[in-house]
Amino acid sequence: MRTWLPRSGYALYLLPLLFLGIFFLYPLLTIFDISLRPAGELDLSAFGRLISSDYYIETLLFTCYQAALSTGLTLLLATPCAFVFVRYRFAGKSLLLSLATLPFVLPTVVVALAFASLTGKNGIVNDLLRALFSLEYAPIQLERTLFLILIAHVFYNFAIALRIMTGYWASVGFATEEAARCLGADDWAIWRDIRLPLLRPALLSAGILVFIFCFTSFGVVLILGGIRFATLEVQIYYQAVNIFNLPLAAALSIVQILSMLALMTVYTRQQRNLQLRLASSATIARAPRTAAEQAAVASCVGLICLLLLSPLAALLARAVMANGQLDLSNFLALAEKSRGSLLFIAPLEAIVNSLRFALLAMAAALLLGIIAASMIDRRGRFARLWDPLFMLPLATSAVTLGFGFIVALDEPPLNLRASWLIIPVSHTLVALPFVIRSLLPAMRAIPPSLGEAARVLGAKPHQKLLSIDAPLLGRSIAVGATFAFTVSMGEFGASLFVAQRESVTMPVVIYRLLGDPGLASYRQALAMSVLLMLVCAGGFMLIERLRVAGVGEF
Amino acid sequence: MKLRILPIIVLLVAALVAQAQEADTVVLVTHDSFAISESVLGSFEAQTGIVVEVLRAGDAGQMVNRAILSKNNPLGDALYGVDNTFLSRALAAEIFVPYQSPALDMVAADFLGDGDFRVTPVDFGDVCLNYDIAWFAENELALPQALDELTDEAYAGLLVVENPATSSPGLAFLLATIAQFGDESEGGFLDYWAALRANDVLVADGWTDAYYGEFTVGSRGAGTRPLVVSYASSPPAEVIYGEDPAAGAVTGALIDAGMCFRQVEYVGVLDGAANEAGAQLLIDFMLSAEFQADMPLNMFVFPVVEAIELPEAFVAYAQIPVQPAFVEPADIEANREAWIQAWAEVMLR
Amino acid sequence: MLRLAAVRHAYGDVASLRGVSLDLQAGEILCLLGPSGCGKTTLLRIIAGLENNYRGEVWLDGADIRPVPVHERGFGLMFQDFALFPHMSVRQNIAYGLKRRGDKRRDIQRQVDDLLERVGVAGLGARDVAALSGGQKQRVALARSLAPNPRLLMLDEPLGSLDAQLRDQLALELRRLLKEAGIGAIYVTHDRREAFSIADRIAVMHAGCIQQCDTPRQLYHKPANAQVASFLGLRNLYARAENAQAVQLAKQAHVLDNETQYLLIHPRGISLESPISAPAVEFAATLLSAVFRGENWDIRLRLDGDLQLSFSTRELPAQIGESLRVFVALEAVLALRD
Repeated sequence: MRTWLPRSGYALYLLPLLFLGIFFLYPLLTIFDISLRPAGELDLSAFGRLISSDYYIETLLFTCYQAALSTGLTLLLATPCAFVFVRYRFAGKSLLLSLATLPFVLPTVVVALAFASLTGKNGIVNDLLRALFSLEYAPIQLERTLFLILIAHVFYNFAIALRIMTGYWASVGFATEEAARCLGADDWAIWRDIRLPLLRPALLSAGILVFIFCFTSFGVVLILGGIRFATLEVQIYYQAVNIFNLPLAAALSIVQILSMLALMTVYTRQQRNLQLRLASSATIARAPRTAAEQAAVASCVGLICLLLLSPLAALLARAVMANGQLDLSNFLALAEKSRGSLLFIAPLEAIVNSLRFALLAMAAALLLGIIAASMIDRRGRFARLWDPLFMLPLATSAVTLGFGFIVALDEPPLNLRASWLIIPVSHTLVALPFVIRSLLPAMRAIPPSLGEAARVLGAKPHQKLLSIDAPLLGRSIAVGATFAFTVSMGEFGASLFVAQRESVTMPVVIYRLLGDPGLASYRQALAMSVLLMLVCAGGFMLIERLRVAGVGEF
Repeated sequence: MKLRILPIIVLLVAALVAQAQEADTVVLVTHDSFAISESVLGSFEAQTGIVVEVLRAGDAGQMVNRAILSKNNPLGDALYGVDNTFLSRALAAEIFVPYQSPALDMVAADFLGDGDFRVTPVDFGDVCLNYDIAWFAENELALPQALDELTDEAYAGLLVVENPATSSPGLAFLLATIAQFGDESEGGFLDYWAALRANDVLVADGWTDAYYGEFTVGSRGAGTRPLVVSYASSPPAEVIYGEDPAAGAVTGALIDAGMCFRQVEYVGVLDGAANEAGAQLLIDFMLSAEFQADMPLNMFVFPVVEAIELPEAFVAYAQIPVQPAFVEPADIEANREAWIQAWAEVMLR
Repeated sequence: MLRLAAVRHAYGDVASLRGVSLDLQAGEILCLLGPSGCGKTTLLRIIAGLENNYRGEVWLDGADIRPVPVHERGFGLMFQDFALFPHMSVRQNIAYGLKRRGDKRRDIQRQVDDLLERVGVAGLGARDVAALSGGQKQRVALARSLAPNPRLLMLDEPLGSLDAQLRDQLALELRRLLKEAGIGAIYVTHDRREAFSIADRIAVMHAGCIQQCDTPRQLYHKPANAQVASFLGLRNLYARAENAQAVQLAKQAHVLDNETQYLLIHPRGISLESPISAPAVEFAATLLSAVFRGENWDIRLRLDGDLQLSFSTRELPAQIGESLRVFVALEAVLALRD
């Protein structure tokens, strides 16, 4: 078969590198250049300011501290749930998994409102407790505490950990733990000696993603934590936008990127030492039998309901209930062109726009991600470098990169500043790390003999990729696809900067409605958030179905 | 073979990138909250044959910074939405070219931001304290009539403000206190804020959080603060977009002398604009009766052209402070970081 | 020592075990022999305690062990794919059961060295398990399951993935090791050669039932039914309804009864020069085919009267198509049920 690709197929590897180079490194380096060489000469005094003040060092320490705590808590809760999801079959499992992923697409403001209506001073929980114990005061006061930040981070990141771990665990299987059981290991020993060590690649993969997310956390820390807490990301935004102190913002950005780079390098080395070539064993989820097993399933479902679904339910309740009655007027109001404003966009139009960008970003992230992951998996001399590199977009402050786009991509043929293309491009940048992190552990677990067999049978490298790796990685690809889809559906920073009607996505509509005065706009924003959740849930189900139909279980 | 689609994607991208800009358009760079009726822009198009393309560049601060960064190759032709807190930054960066619109005749002279006409005022809004009418009636508490009354024990735990580091009304309120109490390192506004802190003031991150999360009216009872830093135009908005427009005002603004800070928004022609003539026409149009009259209900701001008739709800529920606080734009730009830093020291330590 | 009574198990609606009863003596090696899908592995997992939703009884030394959790049973189980812990070295794998038992570090060290020696992989202790060959993995897995001195060792197709030559050699070694350790063992395989070389007794399983449980010799000589005979690879099995000459022979041997459905002429009673035992019947026959197997020839011939017989012989008595005389000892004529 003739293809347009050069015979070696390695040219394929250039694709993700070019993408990263043009849309990430080039803008980033340009903005750093402008910031740190304002008068044509390198001026590093901003770094001096960072070190000389306790304030910035404390900020860095707090950023690490809260990210580490959030990551630990997320993994602690998600790991047992991942086990339950892989091991047991129970009604509503895939629905639950889809619902658990929804927080990811919600704008922080909406999440903050959800938490407020649930655990706020006059939230549902406190009302209930007050009524039950006839108290005068609100017994639970979480507002502006580190605890609430942690809870919100778990709320956002639980699904990342859950999905990556279930994807991997399913390929690990349970044979070794049965062997350990026969050798006298009790439940505790199984977790300590078998499950956690075997799961380590996925734990690290999920952990690093969650950590980076919490490290660069912006809205959650600002809104839920209040002003007492500030992460580096918050500082960068403040310096870049409010103060317009670009050198200091650049210095902070570089500190943030270097911290992430250091972390990623350690992590990459760790991953490399874990060359577990697992026989892909069939894992059949089974119904929980003993009382203990049923209790495990029940507590997993309970945890997800309590932690993830109750805020969502509170949000839903606020969107569809008014004065104790079902009231869908907000949804209807969304479609009314009452103000004749040029801001107005019909909900269906926003849904179509969102879906279009999400599909585009998902396709691009999957294509580039599969290539990039297999490039990293080659363990060549450079692989060590590629891996952290592709993670960097996650670790880069959005405002820094946004400014970079403005100054770097301003000339044809790459005049993207005002083009809708910037939306899928920036979504793809953020989605790529998710796809790669989902794929790598599974890719590393595929015995090389399979690919070698395919090569012997005459497959060119890229054909091997598509005919052997892709189907074998079905589950992990689906995980990556779900994340890419989700990232794109929930992101709105990039979409805000583009003017055309076709770029107004659902989160943009929510954002605009929240900025409008009046309770009606606020409730319409909630209604739009509910629509966003519904569309995403539908998307997850579809991806799940496509996977089963297309590749099947392994 | 799935890879067949790749060249198609590449071609598609190339085609889109090469997409040429239409000849007769004027690109208006503005902030996220810009809104105007479609019919109004349509009318500009009908009058001049020029299509307005709106390019949103983030919040007001981001927009100005982006404009400054792209100075050599501007994002558009005109920039609207820079206010007096960011004005001197924009002027210092020389992103605008002067244009004196004939329509300026109808605008009061004190709105002019720049003697060289590099920017033209379009609208203004006042950041004021809003109060929950029902709450103050129920608790039989008198309304504060000056900023220093807020440190009275009677108002303990009632006020929510926004963080000036992250919120534009938050900064405006901070500036009002600076105008009132002075910025001496000893005493002055910092002492005032220390007293506010002692009186259990709550600091929210942004306006949305403060208004919808903490303000008793905006949060529908979920919040506990009957006093919030918001706008003088919030009370009419609360009526128009509230649950029951017929019920009348539920909130009011405190507009006594020195309690409010006025934000004036300006438009200017960007240096290096591809369509400078179009940008000038657009600025003229923004001062026209049609545009000025459409702004209040779209952006909840007041027109700078005095003769404009305000919408009914504004007439009924909005008040314009007579003596707003004033701080020189140049002072704001020069001291912004120091003031916010000092404020944070007092409020966060 | 171990006793199973009426064990039943189903995967969903599909019954996998239909009432299995079994006794195992101390120190005895019992083979579960049967085609894949006959329920052997399920039975092992039930004994190990890995499978819980079954009915029936499992007794060990007079005690009901159904409520005893897996890790407290003290049984060893060697998995088909070995299930070695990929994140541990060879030494750590073998030491795992000892560690769980709470042995002292020095004792563990000594025992692991001893085991490495005994299974013939001394010097591989520090290796990564991924770097082992198939045979080495098998030895390590065996050492690992032997290490904590299990009361009972279960082996699930332990030689399944190895090549034939290695399999024969290892099967003998395995038997020697098990006998040395004096451990009772249940050995699951679908390979009858393996079963014959290792087992004290063999239980032939088919479709969730034990068809026959006997010593290899008894099993071979007196298969209980046609299923067993065919699974043991015994040729010359004839359906009663289809073969008159075989029925005639059975009548002569006085073995035919009403329930007979199949007739087996056991190869051990077929000879060329002289009858193996009396009484015997002599036939004239034509040589149909002969395959050289090294030590002997597998030949196939047709009796006058159309019955075809297969057996092996030392010497090739005639050319293909030529006629010859053949004796069938009547004691080798067996009447079988289905």
